[in-house]
Amino acid sequence: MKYKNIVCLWISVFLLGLGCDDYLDLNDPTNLNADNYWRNEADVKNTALAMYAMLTPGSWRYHEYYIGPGILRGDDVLPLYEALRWDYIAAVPYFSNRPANPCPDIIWNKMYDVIGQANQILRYIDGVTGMDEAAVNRYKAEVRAMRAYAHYELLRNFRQIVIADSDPDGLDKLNRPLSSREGSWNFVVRELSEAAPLLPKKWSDDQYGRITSGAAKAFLGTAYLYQGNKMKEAEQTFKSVIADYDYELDDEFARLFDGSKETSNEIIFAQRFTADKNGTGYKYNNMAVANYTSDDGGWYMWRPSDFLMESFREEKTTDGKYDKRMFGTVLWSEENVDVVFDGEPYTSSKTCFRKYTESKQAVSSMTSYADYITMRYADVLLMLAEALTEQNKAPEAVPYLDQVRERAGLSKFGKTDTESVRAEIRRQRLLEFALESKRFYDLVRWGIVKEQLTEAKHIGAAAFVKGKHEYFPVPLSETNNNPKIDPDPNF
Amino acid sequence: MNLQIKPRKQSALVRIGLLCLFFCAWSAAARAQAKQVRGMVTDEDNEPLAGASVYIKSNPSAGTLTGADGKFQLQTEGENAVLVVSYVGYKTVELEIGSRSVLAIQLAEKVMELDELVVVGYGMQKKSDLTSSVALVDAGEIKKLSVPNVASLLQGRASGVIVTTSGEPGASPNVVVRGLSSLGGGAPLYVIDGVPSNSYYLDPDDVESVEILKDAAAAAIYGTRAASGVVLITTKKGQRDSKMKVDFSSSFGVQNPTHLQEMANSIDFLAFDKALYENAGKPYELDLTGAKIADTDWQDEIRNKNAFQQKYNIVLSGGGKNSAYSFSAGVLGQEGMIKENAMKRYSFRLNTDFHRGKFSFSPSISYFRQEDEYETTSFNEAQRMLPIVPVYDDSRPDGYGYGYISGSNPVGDLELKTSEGTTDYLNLKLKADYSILDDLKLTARGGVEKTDYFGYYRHAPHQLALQPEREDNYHVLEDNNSKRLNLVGEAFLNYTKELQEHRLDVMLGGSFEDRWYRRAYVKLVGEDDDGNPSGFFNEDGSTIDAGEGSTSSPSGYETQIRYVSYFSRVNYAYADRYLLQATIRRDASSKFGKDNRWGTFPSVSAGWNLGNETFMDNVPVVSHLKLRGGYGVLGNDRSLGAYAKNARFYSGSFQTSYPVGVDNKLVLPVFGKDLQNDGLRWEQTVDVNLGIDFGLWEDRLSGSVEYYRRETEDVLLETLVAPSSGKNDPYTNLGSMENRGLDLLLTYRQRINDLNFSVSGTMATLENEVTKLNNDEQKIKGKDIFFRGSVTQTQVGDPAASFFLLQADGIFQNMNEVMTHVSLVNGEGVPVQPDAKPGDVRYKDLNGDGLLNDKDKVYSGKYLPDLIYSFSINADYKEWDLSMFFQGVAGNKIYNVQRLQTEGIAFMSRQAPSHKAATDFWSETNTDTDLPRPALGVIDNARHSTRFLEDGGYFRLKNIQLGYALPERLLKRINVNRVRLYVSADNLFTLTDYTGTDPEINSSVTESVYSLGLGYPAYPAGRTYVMGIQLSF
Repeated sequence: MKYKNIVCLWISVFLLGLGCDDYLDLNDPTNLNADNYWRNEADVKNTALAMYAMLTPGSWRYHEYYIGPGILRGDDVLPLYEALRWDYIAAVPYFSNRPANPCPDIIWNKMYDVIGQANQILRYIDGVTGMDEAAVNRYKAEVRAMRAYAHYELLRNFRQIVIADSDPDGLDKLNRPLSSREGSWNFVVRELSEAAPLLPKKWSDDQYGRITSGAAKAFLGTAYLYQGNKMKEAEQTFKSVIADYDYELDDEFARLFDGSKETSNEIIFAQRFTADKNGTGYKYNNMAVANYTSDDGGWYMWRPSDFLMESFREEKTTDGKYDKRMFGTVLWSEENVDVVFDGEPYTSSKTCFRKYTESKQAVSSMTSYADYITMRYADVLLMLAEALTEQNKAPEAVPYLDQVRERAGLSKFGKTDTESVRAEIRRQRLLEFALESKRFYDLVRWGIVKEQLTEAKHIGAAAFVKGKHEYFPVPLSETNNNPKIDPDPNF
Repeated sequence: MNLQIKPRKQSALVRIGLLCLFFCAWSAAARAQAKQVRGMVTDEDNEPLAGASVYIKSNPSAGTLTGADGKFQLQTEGENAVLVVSYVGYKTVELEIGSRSVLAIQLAEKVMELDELVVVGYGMQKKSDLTSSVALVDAGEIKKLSVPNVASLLQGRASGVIVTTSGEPGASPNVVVRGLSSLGGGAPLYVIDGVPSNSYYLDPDDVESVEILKDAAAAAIYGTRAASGVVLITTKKGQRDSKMKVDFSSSFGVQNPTHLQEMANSIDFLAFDKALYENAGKPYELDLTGAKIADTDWQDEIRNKNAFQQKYNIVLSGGGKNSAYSFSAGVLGQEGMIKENAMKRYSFRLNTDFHRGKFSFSPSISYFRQEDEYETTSFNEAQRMLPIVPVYDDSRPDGYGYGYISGSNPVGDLELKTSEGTTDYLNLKLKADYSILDDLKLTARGGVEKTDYFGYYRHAPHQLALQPEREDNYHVLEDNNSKRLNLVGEAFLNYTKELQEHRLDVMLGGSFEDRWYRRAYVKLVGEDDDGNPSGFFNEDGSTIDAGEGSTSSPSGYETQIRYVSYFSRVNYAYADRYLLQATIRRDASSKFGKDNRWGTFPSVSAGWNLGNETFMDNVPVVSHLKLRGGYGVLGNDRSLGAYAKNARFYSGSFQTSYPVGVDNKLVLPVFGKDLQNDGLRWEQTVDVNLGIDFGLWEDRLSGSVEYYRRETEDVLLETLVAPSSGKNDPYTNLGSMENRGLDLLLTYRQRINDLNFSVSGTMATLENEVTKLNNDEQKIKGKDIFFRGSVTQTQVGDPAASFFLLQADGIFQNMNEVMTHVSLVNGEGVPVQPDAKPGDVRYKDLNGDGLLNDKDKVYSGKYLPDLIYSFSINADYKEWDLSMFFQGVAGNKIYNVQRLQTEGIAFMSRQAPSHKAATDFWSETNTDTDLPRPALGVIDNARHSTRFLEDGGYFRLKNIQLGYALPERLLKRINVNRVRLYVSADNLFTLTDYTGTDPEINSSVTESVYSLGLGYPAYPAGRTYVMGIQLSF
């Protein structure tokens, strides 16, 4: 009797134990999860805005990790000791980067962060209640456009990339192979062309800064142009950006880059910063202090190359002065030339960038708030001119080229032969977009990196190997963890 | 928050309570008459034995201990009761009480305490009855030690247990039982007086005994949290019917680093630096005109020489007829080996016991406070400063020297920055016993642990570096508050029955646990919207309000974890020869989804006391012999965060905000990168243990040999995923791993007239192998070091985190050697390192493709040692006692990251080199060296390779102690029982080839199980000299 009871008890306790689920169901009091998130349109919007925020980390990370690879390898910029003494930065302009190098690794990671966020929204948006169809379609278009933009940034930096077009919903779906360059461009083109018509031309004032249909089209045109064999499509797309939207060149070049005209009609898309604190928020970068001369408290991590300075001096304006853009781009000392910075004459013997050096205050407080422009109207004009020239329609290109020249105070170009127009477009792109993360990628698609770096006496000219250093190798963090991708044998 | 859960919690307890009533009802008839027994226990010289254990054989857990006068008093039931009296170092006596009520018991000394009672989970067991692997830390040993924390008590006292300590004040040592049980790492579970508690907050002077449950059969009763072993700690208790006893101890000591990297002086640095540039063909641009050239030994500048420590502890214990108490209070003050770095600790504990009839209650309370003054720089920072920089420099804004390279003046960091923390810990425990029947007892225990932490950091505007951090321009203040509340409750029944030669123990119980944590943090930066200094109108202000008008960034979160468990154990012994134990435990954890919440963890073990067989009587040399074996399954969920299964959507912080709209209105977007993972389930460790315990020549030589194999399956670990997935690294049940080895313990004791000595050695072999990952080809790389990739790799068939490295092959002595270092590719000789120069490091192109890359990296060793051994000698002669304790490991490697950094060639820029690097580098006049030529930017010479992989083996005298107890005749005159004076030294000498800070690297520094054995610059280990006094009256 006794032992039988013990056995009964023993069993009953173990059965009773099954009733504790309430006690064990605990919710995270801090974060929501996939089950209780996606409640309404606000959730969709907040998640969508994260895509933009992911592209703009604060402080030094921005110029070292995100902007560095775009600016340090062109013939417009000369990296200096303060940049080169950091291993991970130096590896980029010296072309000594290995797959473990953090700068390309961070670009790769961050772009796929943006893409991953986009894919989540696309996966869940149809289940969100209380949204009308137009809103759903607009969000979908915004998300797809941003996803395509991230793929485009990856394609500029890496020879081959992974097309990530869906949210992996299980451990077995995490690894995707590399795609061909052509296939990846096709994906970017498809996404942007489908998204553009569904996006607003302009957002309301309180939503300014989100991607518009004009931006999607401008990047679509860029995607055609970068492929080299889609000049006709590029031409049509850029023409539509010009015809269907209100973009125009800003009269004052310099104010595009010092934060004083962030709503200029020239700006098509930008990565945004602000001095606004909104209680806890705070979004600044260190571009000003990184640019500015060490004579006056700057870090002086790079300076305008001599080649850029000479190119500016090559041609004077119609009234015999320096190119108007020169004053908005660089700070230098020269007899009989008034170079004014922040209300005072610039006296240092060291030449530095003025572009994105918004004020002395930005230098001394190490905080820059100016938006970093990734697409503006001048770019559309020059890319259209290029697309026409490459189709042997140089004469048609010249009027667009002249718009850019005239804003700089230069005369009309005059010549219409393909060689001259092509050369002038390339020169104008140098002068127009110095320090804007365009030049190296331009040189790559024109196939003249080695030549131009040599001419500009860039520190990496000797190390650059044609066919190898145009693109970063797929980072180690990817090849280590993705069995479908092998390490780049060239690195 | 605890209010909400109480009703539900009770339900588990109420259930058990009801069961007990049920139990009582049908066995009430078996009640017998109670009876009081008194007695006195003495040794062979009729001296009273204090603290001897006295209990009724049929109910071992209802025993008592003798008082200081050797007397005891006990309730027995029934006249057939058998009284068992045992005492450490004496033979256990069993006697039938019969009709006697007063007993005089004399114990004979014995060499081995085999019948000693051992605390096992939820009860006690005779050591001779154990069928599982339990290691005991000798109580006598503990009394002699003067250590700052409980974990240090375990150091080398038991085979297969390794403890590594940093010299930082208040540092918590790392304890590993039998290797790496889980890829997710894991410290053992500490159970203090029956309740899982944090051992960090326990004063080691309060500890009475320590036991370590090593195998699953022993630990399974603690189920889910026992996978890395269980450490059972019993604190000092008072004894009933004894007058107050006072134990006082105090010690003083000084501590210095065992080893510091010697750095180059200014002359050597300048010569090295010149070579660094010239060898690279770069113009030498160090401009020293007008500069103040110093010759600073930065490590010396921040070092606190002879760091002082002091410790006081007093214990008052005693008891009346029905109650006993033990009160203790302690103070510990310890300076760090860096200036402005110190720790103070205050502890307080009251353990009480109250008895009435069949009830006994044992409430206890302990309070602990720690005040930390944290170091605001490190020896590593000091190593990175150039010797030519002066400590103080009037030409700099704040008067502190800096320059030439990045890096903040460490002396300035110490003097201008304040970082402090205080921890308050309160622990309340209640244990209640009720003897329902002679052989049935109910025990209930509850515990509350409350921890409050307050951390504080501040600095004024300052300039201590060439490129100061942005925040250095402003006042900064951080307040960091956290609270932790752990609740534990458990109830269990013990039933014991003896029938002729059969003995049966059954235990059955349940428990719950609730762990809650909440943190709030605010940081203020004294600047206004335009970046101008503001706030802190009171510049010495140290509170949040003093910084009104500053920019603030608050953060905070809360987590909660709950467990519910049911467990049972059955022990059966026949004729003291055949032993059997089975346990089963069911656990549920709130970390898992509904479907995977419960885990069932069984174990079974058996033993054969061969020595008690009659046929062994003919083998007198064997005093005892036991064979035992066990099998068990343990669960683990500790590597998981409270909500790890959720795909979180979280609001960003100020760094992730984004401005929207023409007026740049900042929004905080919502991020979501996680995979929802409801399929997470318990990690399981399947453990097999086989052992022999033996004693020869009346236990003069005794020991045990054990073989163990533990396979951990479904290891819960963060799986590194490809970034292109767009996902955070999720926790998954990743793979399997196996640990196997032999544990050996051998002790020899001898008594020659007044000389009493024992020599004891432990040895444990360890073989670790990853047996399964997501797929057999998967290679999990360790963390990146200096952007050069990782040095460790975890893959199937190898030990976890094995080193995979390029093979360095000496130094090129001339161009001819460079040109002849070729691989044959398609029949053509391709130079492997065409750009190398004489003085550069040569690497092997193992796959012969003419390139040096990942494919040339091969297995080069591992951090987990093959062998852990220790050796101790204890001797006493009349009033003197001496103990020495040695510890060592062999067969392991450490990657010396510190050397990579201090050779001065790892980066593209100028660096401070070590003395050796600056004076012994390769040059045409110094070719007999293993250091390459310095050449800026030639990072090939600093590639990860076997050049930095060093033998991590060591042999060290961990502790030596010499004590002298004042003779008794002297003591009697001053009415004192015992006075012992001692001197002791830690880490007196170390034999090792490792050149980094210390071979006992604390693996928690390396953060991840994929990256074991990285010798980063660390807080050095301390060589400590202590003298102390122990006093009892």
